Parts: sequence; C-alpha cells; structure tokens
Amino acid sequence: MMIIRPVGRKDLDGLMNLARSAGVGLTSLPVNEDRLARRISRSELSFAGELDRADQGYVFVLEDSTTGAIAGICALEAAVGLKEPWYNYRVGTIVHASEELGVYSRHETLFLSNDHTGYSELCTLFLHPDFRANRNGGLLSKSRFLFLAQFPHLFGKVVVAEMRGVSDEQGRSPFWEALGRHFFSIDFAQADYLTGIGQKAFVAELMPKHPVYIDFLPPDAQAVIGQTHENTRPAVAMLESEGFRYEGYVDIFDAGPTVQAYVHEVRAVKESREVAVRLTDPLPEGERQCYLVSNTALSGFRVILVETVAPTHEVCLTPEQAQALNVSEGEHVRCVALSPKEAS
Amino acid sequence: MMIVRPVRTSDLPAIERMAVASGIGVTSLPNNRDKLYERIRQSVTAFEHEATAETGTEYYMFVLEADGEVVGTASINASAGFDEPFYSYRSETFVHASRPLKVHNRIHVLNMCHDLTGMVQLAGFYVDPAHAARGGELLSRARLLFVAAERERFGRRVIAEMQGIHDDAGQSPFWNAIGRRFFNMDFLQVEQAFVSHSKTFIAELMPSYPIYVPLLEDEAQNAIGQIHPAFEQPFRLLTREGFEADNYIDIFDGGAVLTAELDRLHTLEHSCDCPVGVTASLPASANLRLVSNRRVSQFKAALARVAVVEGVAYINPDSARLLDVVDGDTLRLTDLHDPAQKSL
Repeated sequence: MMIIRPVGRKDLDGLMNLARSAGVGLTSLPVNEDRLARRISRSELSFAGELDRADQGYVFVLEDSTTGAIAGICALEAAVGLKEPWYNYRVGTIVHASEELGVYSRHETLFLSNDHTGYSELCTLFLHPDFRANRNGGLLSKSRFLFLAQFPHLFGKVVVAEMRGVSDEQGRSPFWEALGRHFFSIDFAQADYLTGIGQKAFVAELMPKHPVYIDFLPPDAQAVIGQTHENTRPAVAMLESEGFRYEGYVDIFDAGPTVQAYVHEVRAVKESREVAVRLTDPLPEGERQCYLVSNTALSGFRVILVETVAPTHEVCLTPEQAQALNVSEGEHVRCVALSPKEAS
Repeated sequence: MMIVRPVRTSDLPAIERMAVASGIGVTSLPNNRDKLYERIRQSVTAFEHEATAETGTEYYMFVLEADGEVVGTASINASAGFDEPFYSYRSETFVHASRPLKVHNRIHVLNMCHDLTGMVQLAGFYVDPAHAARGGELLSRARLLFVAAERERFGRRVIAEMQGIHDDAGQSPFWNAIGRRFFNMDFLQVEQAFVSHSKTFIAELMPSYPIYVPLLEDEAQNAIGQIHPAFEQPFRLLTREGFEADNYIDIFDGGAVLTAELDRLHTLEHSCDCPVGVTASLPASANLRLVSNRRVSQFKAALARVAVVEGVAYINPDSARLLDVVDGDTLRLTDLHDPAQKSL
C-alpha cells in the first residue's frame, strides 16, 4: 500500500535515491546529503512544533509499505517571505490615454512585489518515474490539502504554487535571456540552481526594482509571461481543478505563473469531512470511488487512497487500511473524493 | 552685411518659410502660421517690457538678416516649459551588486524628470545653409551677448535641446522603441501634435517609470544622446561656449539636451562693455569681432572690425550705422571662436 507520512531521519538514503532519479531539473531536491539532511531536520522540528512560523516547512514522503521504498516527496512551507523577501513580478496594466489626441494604449508592466509574504506554499513535488501509475500522483500532491484542512492554524490564509516557466531542452529561458541576463551575467540554469539552494533573495536583489514595461521585451519573452513549461501543464491543470487560479503573479526569473487559492476555498479542503471509521472486510458492495483518507494526528500524520463507497457519517476501511493510518474502529479520519465531481 | 535683431511681425513670411525648411524635429520651428505669429507677438512683447528672472515666461526671438533679407532665426526662452513642467529623461546609473554572488553590474537607466523646468532655454535655431558658415556663430552667440547685457532677465542655468537622430523618412529609432509603443503614432504625426498641443501635454502620455536601457533595441540604445547631422554646427558652437551633453536627453527623439551655467559661458565670461569711437580710418590692429549695442527692443548684433585702444572700441561708420550707435554709446564685444573668420 502507498502511504503518505512525514519525512524522518531514516529516509535520508531514500531521498538521495529519489534525488538521483530526478536529475538536475529539480533544484529543490538536490543530490546533496547535507542539504537533504537539513531539510529533514527542519521538517521534524516543524512537526514537533519547535520552530517559528517563518522557519516551518513540512515535508512528506510517499512510501511503498510493502518494500519500504520512498516513491515520492511533497512539501508545504508554512509561510514564505518572513525571513528573507519573497519576490514575484505582478503583471499590471497601465493605460496611457488622451481623448484629445485620440490616443489610447494599454501597457502591461512587471512590478516587483512581495505581495505573497506570509502565504503558504506547495513545493518540492516529485514522484519517482517507476511509481507514476495508480493515481499515486494525485495522492502525493493532494494529500497536502488534507493536512491544510486539518491544521489550518499552521498556515497562511492563501496557498500558492510556483509553476515552472518555459525553457528549452538546453535550459534556456527566453524570459531570462531578455530580462534577467542584462542584470545578472549568469545563465538561467545557474540562477535556477541558486534559487534551489535558497539564494533566491540574493539573486532577486539584482533584478530591476522599477516596473518593467513588457513592450520593451522581445516577442519571444513577452509570449512566455505567465506560461507554464510543457511538462508542468498537468500539474497546473490539477491545481486549477482544485480551485487554484493565476492572478497575474509570475516568477522573476522564468516568468512561470504562480497559482494561488484561499486555503478554505480549495476544493479538497472545503469538501473534506471528518468521519468515524468503521472496519469491514471486504468493503461493502456499491458504487465505489477514490477517496483520500487521512488521520488527524500531527506528527503521526498519514494519508492513503481508498476505493470505497461514499462515506456518510462514517467511512468503511479494511483493517489493513486502518492500520496504515494508525486508527481503530470509531476513531475519526478526514476524507475527501480524490477528484472533483465531473460536471454532469 | 549681416545683422541680428529682434523679430518683427513683418518677418512672419520669412519665419514661416524657415519653419518649412527646417523640417522634422521636435526642436524645430512649428510649421503653423498661427503658432509662429503667436511666438513673434510674445517676442515683441518681451523685448518691449522690463523683466526679471522671476517673472520668467518671456520668449525672445531673434532673426539674422543678410543684406536686408531674413535668413536665420534663434530664440531664448526665459523659462523652459513656461508655466508647465519641462520633461526630459535623465541618464542614471544603477549598480546592481551582490557581494555573496560576486556580481557587480552597472545598469544604464533613463528616468523621466522635471529637472530642467524653468531653466533658460536656447531654442528655435535655424540658418539657411547658404549663410550658415558666416552667420551661424553670429546668430547663436548674439543671443548670448543679449543675455550678458540683460543678465537680470535670466536665471542661473541654461539648456539647449539638440535634435536627435532620424532618417529622411522621419523614422526615429528612439521614438520607435519608446514613444511609438505608447502613442501608435509615427514621429511625423507627433511633430504635428506639437503644433496643436504643448510638449508637456504630450509628455504626460509617455512612460513615467524608469526605462532600463539594456532592454531597448541596439538601434535605439545607439541613438541615446546622439545629435542629428543638421545640428552639428549649433552643437559645436554651444560646446565651445561651455555647454555639456551628459545627463539629459529629449524624451521623444533621444537627442542630447545640453546644459550649462549661464555665467560660465564663454560669451558671458569673455565679453565686455566699451565706449564706442567711430572713425573712418581704423588702426591696423582692428580685427573682426562679435559686437552688439546695449539696447533692448532695438538690439543689434553684428560682426565688425574693431580696434580697442585705451578702452575705446573703434569701429567704422558703416558698422556704426549697422549697429545703430554713435560716438560715446556703449558696445558689448567678444572675440570670435573661429579664428579663420577674423580675417574675413
């Protein structure tokens, strides 16, 4: 069975393997034992309630309980920008108009902003290629919504996710070439790397602080503002189906969109319910559907995917499933349908 | 014989002809009879009335006459922008530096400003090409002799806009890169708009946030602070006077806006008042100088052979008639920049 649980010290080897399979593309999951160990330790302290909001970061792993393999990772930052500034460009509009001269022109501008300060962030999502099946992706990504629903006091009112912007096979970003490069004589890949290792604020401080008129950028750079990398489109589609929206905030390096939602309005948060566990084996007959089910513990948080009949005031779980969640008959779990209802 | 004198309303046809001949350029004469007539009226009023630097909205227009025909014109605006803000771009340097990242970049930025508002402005310079060689210096510097003599009418600093680069078809690379994006007008159309609207009115539709120069096309970057070939002579004359082209450029065509301290200008520092002696037989020491009488509405300036002997400036009767002076009047005189002319 596939189980989501908080990362622990013993997972270091598993994370290193995962990082190796991710290659250089995922800068937030570096093949670097020291940094992974620090990340694990920060997560453990966060779950233990020993860190300030500014430092809290919750990391989860997807474990194959039969082999003990680490199949994926996902994380939540409690609040971004509280220790060092969190930067985005906001795509704004300026109208230059004069009725007398018959002039009316709209101009999009990029304003450097710290508007997302204090918001929570979905980050570091990676599923090992061998496990990209059986709805593991949905379980991995959406398990975080049950955590947000269960512990809203740990998070900001809005949750954001930065989507990778457009770049080619060589890692060349047209937006970076048109803007960042002028201010910062390094490659996008290097800027991206510095971002991954937590130096983004340094880099951001070298970027233009005054609004940039998009008109002044070459067409290929203009075209990718707010656009997602081809490989990241399914992730955007998933978040959009949960109620996330692009509100005009883009990454300062590659102009990839940041999508955002009020935590309480995310579909999987809003529709999730706490219900009692009823143990049955086998699960009752009837129309079955996939549900995300979590327990209600903080440091012992678990999520699994269950294909069962619609929960009422209680949800039917097999003893094996209940054991994976560390719950027994009558105890409460939180559940929500894995996917939004198809529009009928 | 050439003479510089204040414009008269009867000069309108000649001024109009020159407005057409001077062609494209935001600093040239408006190709519009009513506007030109209005300017001439303003000038006549300015020459007829007392004024101080504080009142400051006077417009003084001079003409160059060659053998009774008007072949050139030049103006002094006591206060750039009159009672409106005067817009220009200030060239600035931002240093984007990061010690931890070992980056140190200097970024050239154009920042819209009102710095030059209210300064004395030399403007509307045009000489028919056939008379430019002999008349150019006379016309340009006669204005400064007037300023030297009527110093209390003018403030401390002075500017002169030099026409920027554009081709014969009226395409200005600077305008195409910046203004055009905000106006959907080509440079010629904007020229026309200046006839019916103040430059300030139009400036207020231009981008007001700083412009990062590295983002502009090379052609536009290369046009910054450049001067149209037709303005080489006025530029050379003003440079020798002590004008400098460093910090300011025109917001429309990117041409240099020259600035100087009025009292530091060569003509103001190296001109003096002398009593006149009229004599038919000039001593051999006489050489060609730039001279003016000390009147206001009857101001006259010319090139004349002058011999200064014991503090008296001797000129011949023809020059005296030209300058409208008699024995015992006062002349203001200065050396010519161009030594080749002295022997003319």
